[in-house]
Amino acid sequence: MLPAYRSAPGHPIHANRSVYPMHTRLTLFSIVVIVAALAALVPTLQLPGSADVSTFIGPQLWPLILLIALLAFSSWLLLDSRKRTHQTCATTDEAPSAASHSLSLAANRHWLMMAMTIAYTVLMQMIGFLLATVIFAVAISWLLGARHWGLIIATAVIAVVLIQGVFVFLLGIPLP
Amino acid sequence: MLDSFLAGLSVVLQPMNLLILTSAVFIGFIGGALPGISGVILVVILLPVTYGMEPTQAFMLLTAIYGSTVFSGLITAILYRAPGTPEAVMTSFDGYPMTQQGEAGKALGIGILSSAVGGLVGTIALIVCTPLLASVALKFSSPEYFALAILGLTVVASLGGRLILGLIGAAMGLFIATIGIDPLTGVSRYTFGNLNLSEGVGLIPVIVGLFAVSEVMKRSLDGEVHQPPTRVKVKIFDMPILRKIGVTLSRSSLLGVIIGILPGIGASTAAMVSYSETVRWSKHPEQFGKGAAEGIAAPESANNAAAMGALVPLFALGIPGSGTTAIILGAFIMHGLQPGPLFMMTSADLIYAVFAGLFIVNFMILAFSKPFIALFTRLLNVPYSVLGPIIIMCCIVGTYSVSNSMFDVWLMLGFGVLGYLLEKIDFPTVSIILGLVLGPIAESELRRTLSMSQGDLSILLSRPISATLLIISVVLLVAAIAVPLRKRARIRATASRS
Repeated sequence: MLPAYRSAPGHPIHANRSVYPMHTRLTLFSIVVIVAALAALVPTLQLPGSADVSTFIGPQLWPLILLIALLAFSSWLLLDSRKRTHQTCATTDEAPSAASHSLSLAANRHWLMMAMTIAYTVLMQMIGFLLATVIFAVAISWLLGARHWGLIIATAVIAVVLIQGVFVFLLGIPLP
Repeated sequence: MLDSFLAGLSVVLQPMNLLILTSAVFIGFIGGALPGISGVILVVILLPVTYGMEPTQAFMLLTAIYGSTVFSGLITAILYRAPGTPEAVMTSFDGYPMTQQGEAGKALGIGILSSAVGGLVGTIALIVCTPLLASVALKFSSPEYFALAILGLTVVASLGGRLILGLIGAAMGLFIATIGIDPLTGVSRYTFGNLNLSEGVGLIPVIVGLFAVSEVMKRSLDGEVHQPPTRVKVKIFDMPILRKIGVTLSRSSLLGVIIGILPGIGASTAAMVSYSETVRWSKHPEQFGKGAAEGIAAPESANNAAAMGALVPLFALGIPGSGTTAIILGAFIMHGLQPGPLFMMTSADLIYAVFAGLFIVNFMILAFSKPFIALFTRLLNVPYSVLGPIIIMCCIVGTYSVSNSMFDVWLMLGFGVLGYLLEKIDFPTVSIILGLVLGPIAESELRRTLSMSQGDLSILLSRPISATLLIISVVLLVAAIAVPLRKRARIRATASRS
């Protein structure tokens, strides 16, 4: 069955926290897909066709079919989203955007977390797995709301012991 | 068949394998209980870990987690009216009213027993139906396999949300699957000279990124909210209740199996259909929604039976019956195995060990659910500031460990950001996985089909099995488009009348 993309008990989903309405997001998404599909057409058309290879069908046909399908589906989505946007604009006034909220630390915590994860991945290769993991565990715990030092240190210790224990000692897999 | 099953049972009963199964059941229980971790995410996180394990043990672990997660969704549905999994939504209709009436223990007992019965019926159907379906599928050739891949892709219709987004996702996944060296001609496609892409985009970076990393990003926005602790005394075997729900259990389990085997319908639909059928057959339909025992028994037995039923097309035909089984199919491919009719012959030992493991898991659910529920309220209070960093680190190390490649880690982080952004538009990300998993089969079998027929596509409709499979695919897609349109038209008609 479908994976559970749901709010955990007591945790509200923030799917619509963004200041942009759904139709705008869908319009943006469909434009991105159309642009990406058009860009992918360039290398696709350079692939050998059926006449250029020994097999009956060349490596170009299948990706070409998929790109045409992607263009068709995303154009359909674009038209439908535009139609719905016009309907919504005709019936309702847009709510003022929550600009001040979007600049706060709480609203950008996920991007900060991703930046820290990228930094961790780079750091791991420079200073080694163990030290980078301790720094990362402390920083992310703090970012996610932990303020009690006992809890932060416990998270770092659990992370190191769990990963070393499972990957290195139990499964014999080398760490980055 | 019985001999193979008994051989599988002897494998499962080895101490190490029993330990793996027990761990899997507890991991699955946690999947439905801990905030921010779903069963699928646990399967995804453990995928790289299973890479270093024997295939039999790896798939016993993954399928047992899958089975026990379907069960554990009922706990939060009954106690907090917050279904742990989509399959448990219907359970909350009568489960939560019973909790409000002070009968949470009774409701949980009915749910546990119904899950175990449904799971057992589903497992028996899995053991009986899989070899039968696989023996039919042995007659398949390229056109039939291509039609099967298309049928597998119609699962997008059951993923919820808008169908057009599912279709875009499936096309994106199919396209990503073309990256790398074309196996039939040796031509490099979309590698741009990068050797890391020669073998294509790995399943692990995509799955871990789209599911686990994006989930942590999403959850990092939430504050630390905890549920109030709840103490309940669970009673599983209650004879008067058993007599009351006996017929419902049998009917709903059978319904669940049938619905589960059909690709693209899924355990949530099974739960809904069996609930509405139970209301229709009941002498007291007015009691439903107010704490009726049958209202818990019907969806719980059906969704667990359907979850097992969804494994039948996976093992017999090599096509996933649902989103989660698409990820399990990805795990098989990652281990160098391709489920399907030939797989039934070449890897019967592995398959029957997995079947036997699932059989045992249902008894383990009965045995371990009571102590787990006692621990459950404490687990709910584990803060996300502890879980979040550990999940991210497991994702990074797990992805790296599959092929010792930092390129895969970067790819995983990229897909994590993509997954997060896609969730903003309620995109069914699992459709990308479906496309990625079924892409190589669909492309190679289509090319072989066209070679067989010298480019004549009508071969797909002139062969009875491929024609039937394609017609079923079209019917499923048309139904997915027509049902919401009819619903919308009905709402409009009602609104215009009033």
